[in-house]
Amino acid sequence: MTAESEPERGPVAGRRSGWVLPAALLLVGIGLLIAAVNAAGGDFSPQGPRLAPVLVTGGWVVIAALYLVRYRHQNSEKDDEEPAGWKAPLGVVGCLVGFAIILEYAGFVVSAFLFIIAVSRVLGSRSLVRDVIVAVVLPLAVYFAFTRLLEIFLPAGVFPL
Amino acid sequence: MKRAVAVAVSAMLVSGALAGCERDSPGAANGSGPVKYPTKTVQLMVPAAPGGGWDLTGRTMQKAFTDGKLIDQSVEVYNVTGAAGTIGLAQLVSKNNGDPHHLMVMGLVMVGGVVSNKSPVKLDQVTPIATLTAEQEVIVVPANSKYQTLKQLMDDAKASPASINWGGGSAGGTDQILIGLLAKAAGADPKAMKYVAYSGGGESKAALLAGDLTAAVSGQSEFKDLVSSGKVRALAVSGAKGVDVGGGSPAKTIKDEGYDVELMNWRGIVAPPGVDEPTQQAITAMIDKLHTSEQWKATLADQGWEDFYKSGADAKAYFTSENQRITGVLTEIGLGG
Amino acid sequence: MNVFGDLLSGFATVLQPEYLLYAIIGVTLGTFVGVLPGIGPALTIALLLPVTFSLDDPIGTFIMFAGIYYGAMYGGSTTSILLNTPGESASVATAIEGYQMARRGRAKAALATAAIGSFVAGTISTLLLSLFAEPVAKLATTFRASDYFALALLAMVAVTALVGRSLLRGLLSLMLGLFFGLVGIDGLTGQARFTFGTTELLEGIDVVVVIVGLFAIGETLYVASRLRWLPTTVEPIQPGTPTLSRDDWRRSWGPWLRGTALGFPFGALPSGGADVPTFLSYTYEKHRSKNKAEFGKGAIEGVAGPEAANNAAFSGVLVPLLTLGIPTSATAAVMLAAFQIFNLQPGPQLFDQNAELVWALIASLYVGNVLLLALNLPLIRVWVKVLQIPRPILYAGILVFATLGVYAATGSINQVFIAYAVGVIGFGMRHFDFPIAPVILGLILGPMMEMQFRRALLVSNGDMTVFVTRPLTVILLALAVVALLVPYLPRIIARLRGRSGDDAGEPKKLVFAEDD
Repeated sequence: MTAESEPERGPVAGRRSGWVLPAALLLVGIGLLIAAVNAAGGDFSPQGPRLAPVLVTGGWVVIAALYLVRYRHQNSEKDDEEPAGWKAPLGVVGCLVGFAIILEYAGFVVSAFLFIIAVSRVLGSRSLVRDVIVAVVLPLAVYFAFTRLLEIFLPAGVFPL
Repeated sequence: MKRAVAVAVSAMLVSGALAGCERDSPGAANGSGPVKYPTKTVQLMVPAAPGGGWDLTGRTMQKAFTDGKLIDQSVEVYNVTGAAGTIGLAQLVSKNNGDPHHLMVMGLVMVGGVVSNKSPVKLDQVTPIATLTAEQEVIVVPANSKYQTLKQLMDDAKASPASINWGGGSAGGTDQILIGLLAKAAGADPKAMKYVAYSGGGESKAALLAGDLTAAVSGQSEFKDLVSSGKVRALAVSGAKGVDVGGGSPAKTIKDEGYDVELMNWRGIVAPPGVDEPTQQAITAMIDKLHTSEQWKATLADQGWEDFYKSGADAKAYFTSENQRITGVLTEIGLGG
Repeated sequence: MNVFGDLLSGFATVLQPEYLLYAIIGVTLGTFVGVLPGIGPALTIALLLPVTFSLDDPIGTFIMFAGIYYGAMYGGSTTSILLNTPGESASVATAIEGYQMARRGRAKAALATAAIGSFVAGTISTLLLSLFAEPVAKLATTFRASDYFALALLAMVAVTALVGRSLLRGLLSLMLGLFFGLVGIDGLTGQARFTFGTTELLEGIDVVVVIVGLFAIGETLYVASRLRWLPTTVEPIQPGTPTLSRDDWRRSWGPWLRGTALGFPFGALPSGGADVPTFLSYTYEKHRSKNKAEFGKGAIEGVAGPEAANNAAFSGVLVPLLTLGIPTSATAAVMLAAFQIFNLQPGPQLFDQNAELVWALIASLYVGNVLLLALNLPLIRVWVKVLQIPRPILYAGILVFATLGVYAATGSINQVFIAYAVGVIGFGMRHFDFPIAPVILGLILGPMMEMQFRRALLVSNGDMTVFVTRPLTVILLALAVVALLVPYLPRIIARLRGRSGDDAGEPKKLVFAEDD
C-alpha cells in the first residue's frame, strides 16, 4: 500500500522555514500597505475605493507581525519532514516559461510537443519513446478538438494545419 | 441614413468593379493597382469575453462571411478579455502593428474605457474602418415610482442630485455616459449625479426592483419583459427615433422630452495602425460587401440590431467626434484623466 | 396540479429522440470540457452560442446547455477529486476532502458520492424549481445592497473552518485572497488599484487564473519537489472494494440533502452562484460530523455536501433567470444572451408566452440528471484509470491543459504568466503548509463585501445606519456575530460560570491555537 508509505504533509511541515518566511511576508505586507496609503492620498472615505486596500494590507501586516512574533516564542522545530528538492520545481517553472514564450510563435502543436518532452524529463521520466508518442498525439488531438469543435483558436504557428 | 446607404452602394460598386479589374489583369496587385485583400486568413479580435455584444458581433460577422462566401479566405475569431477592451486595444497596437489581416471589433464602450481606464494606448492610434450596428439606451423607473416623465426625474436630479440613485453597467460605460450627457443637457452638474455601477444587466435589474435604485439605464432590449409586464416603466430612449422597449408602442426619445441628447451604443471595426491607404480601402470594401450581403441583413433582423453603417471617411469623422464628446463628458463626470 | 400537467408535456417534448440526442451531446461535451482546468460551463456555452444560430431550435439549444452545465460541474469534480486540480471555484470545496479520499485509495467512493449526490440534488432542486419558481423569484428582488453585504459577511464568518489548522497561516491565506480581489479597476469608480502601472492587471486577477495557478500548477510544482519520495504512478485503487459501501451511503444521505437546501436558495440570489454554498456546505458538514477527525484526511461528507450544493445551485440560478430575466451567475448571463438570440425575453411573461420552452427546459434538467448518472457511474472505472498514468506524463498533461485553459479563457499570454506566478505562490503555500481554500474564499467574498458595502452607503448618501435599520440586514449581521462566537461559546460559558483554573493563558491560546 503505497498510500500508507507516502509521507504525510502534516502540521509540522514548514516550521523549518525559520523566521525568514514570516519576515518576508511582513515586508511584502508593509510594501503593499505603503502603496495602498500612497494611492489613497488621504482619502479614506468608506464609500471610496481607497479604504479597502488599506484595511486588507493593514490586516496582512498585523497578522504577519503576529506570525513572526509567534515564531520567536515557539522554537519547537521538528526535523521529520522530508527535505524538498528544488531542482525539479525550478526545472518545471523553466519549462513553463519557455512554453509560454514560444507558444504564440511556434504554435501550439510544436511548443506543446517540446514542452511535454522537456517537462517529463524534469519529472523523472526515463522512457523517451513513450513521451514522444504522447507529445505528438496529445497536442494534435487537443488542437483539433479546440479549433474544430469548440472554435477556440490556438496559435497555429509554424506547423501548417 | 440615406447617405450611408449611398456610400455603401457606391462602395460596393467600386469594390465590384475593382474585383472585376483584378480578374482581368492578374498582375495588377503587384503594381500601383488595387490591393488584393485578404490574401490569408483574417483574424478578428473580440476584445471581450465570449457571450457579450462584441463577441456576438464578431462571430456573426464570421458566420456571414463564411455562409455568404463573401471572401475566399477564412475568418477566425479570438477573444482577448479585459478592461472595456483596452487590453485588446493595446495588443492590437503593439503586436499587430501594420498587419491588415488582424481586425478588431470595438464600440462606444471602448471609447469610454480608454478614457476612464487612462489607457496608455489611445483610440486615435488605430485605423477606423466602419461602424456596423447600434443599440439605443433606455431609462426606466420602477412601476411604483413617482416619476412619470423624464422631465420630472431630471428636475429632481437638478434640484437635489443626492435624492436620485442612478444605476447601470460598469463605471465609465455607455450607461453612465448617457446620464452625464443628460445631466449636462438638463443643466445639472454631471459630477453630482450619484451613479451606482453594477456588473451586467442582471444586478442592476435586481437592485431596481429591490428598491436600491431610483432609475436604471441599460440597453433598450434589456428591460423589455419587465416593461411589458408592468413591473418597470420606460421613461425615454436615447436614439433619434423611438423604438418599442416593451410598452407596445415606440417609447419617447430623450429629444422628445426636450433634452438635446442622442447616444447610440454603437459597435464597429478597426484595423491596426500602420495600414496603408490602398489596403484600408480594400478592408473597407470587404466590410461594405458584408454590410450589403443578405446574410448580414438576416443577422440584423435576427438579433434586433439597428443598422448603423458608416464606413471610410464617414467612419473616421464619426470616431473622432464621438471620441471628443465622450472624453469631454467623462472628464466632467470626473472619470477622465 | 397544473404544474404537473405542464411538466408532463415538457417531458413529452424532451423525450423525443432528437432532444434526447441534444441532451446526451450536452452532458458528454460538458463532462469533457469540465475536466479541463479553466474551461468552465460559462465559457463553453458562450463559445457554442454562434453554433446555435444555425440550429435555429431554441428548445434543443437550451436542453444542450443544461446538459453542458451539469456535465461540466461533474467533470470539474472528477479532476478535483483525482488530481486536486479544480477548474473553477465551485469545485474547490470538493477538492479538499475528495483529493484526500483519492490519496487513500477511495477515489471510486468519492466519485460515486459526487455523482449520486449531484443526481439527488439536481432532482430535488429541479422539483423545487417546478413548484416554487414564483415565490423564490421574490427572494432575488428583496435583497438590497446592505443585505448582500451582511450575507457576504455571514458567509465569510461561517466558513472559517476552511482556515485549517493554524489560525494565523489561514488568515494570511485569506489576506492574500482579499488582496488578489482588490487588484484591478474598482467597479464603482473605475479607478485602478494595485495595477502597478500595467494594463494587464487592469482587468484584475481572474478567479479562474488563480484557481488554475494555485491548484493545477502549484500542485504539480509541489509534486515535483517531492519526486524522489513518490511512487511512479499516483495511486493504486483498492481492488475489489464496492464503489459505495453501506457506511458511505449512510454518511452521504444527510450531506446530499443539506447541500441541496443550501445550494438552491443561494443560486437564486444575485451575485450568488454555486461557489459560496459549496463552502458553506463543507463547513457545516465538518461542524456537525461525528467523524470530525477524519476531515482533512478524506471525509466523504466533505465531498457529498458541496457536490450536492453546486448542482442544486443551478436550478436556483434558473429561477430569477426565467422569471425576471436576472442572471445570477456567469453561466446564466450567457444563457440570457442565448435567450435574446432566439428573440425570447426571460421575465414574468416567459412562463405564459413560451410555456412549451420553459417546461421543456425544466424537464430537460431531470433528463440531464438521469443521463449524467447513467453516463458517469460506469465511467468512474475509466476515470480512476487516469491515476495509473505514469506521473511524469500525467503532470505534463495537466500543465499543458492548465496553460491552454488560461490562454483560451483570456486570449492573453500575459495571463498565462500571471497563472504561473500564482502557481509558484501555490507551491510555496503547500511547502510551508498554508491552506489554499481561504485564498479562493477571500477572492470571491472580498469584492462582494466591499462592493455591496459601498453601494449601500452610496445609496443611503453615506448614512451608516443603513446597516442597522433594515430588519433583514440586522438579522444577517446578528447571525454573523453568532457564527463568529459559536466556536468559542463553550469556553466563554465556562469562563462566565466559574473562571476555573485554565484561564490564565487562555486568550492567547485562542488566538494562536495551532491545532483545533
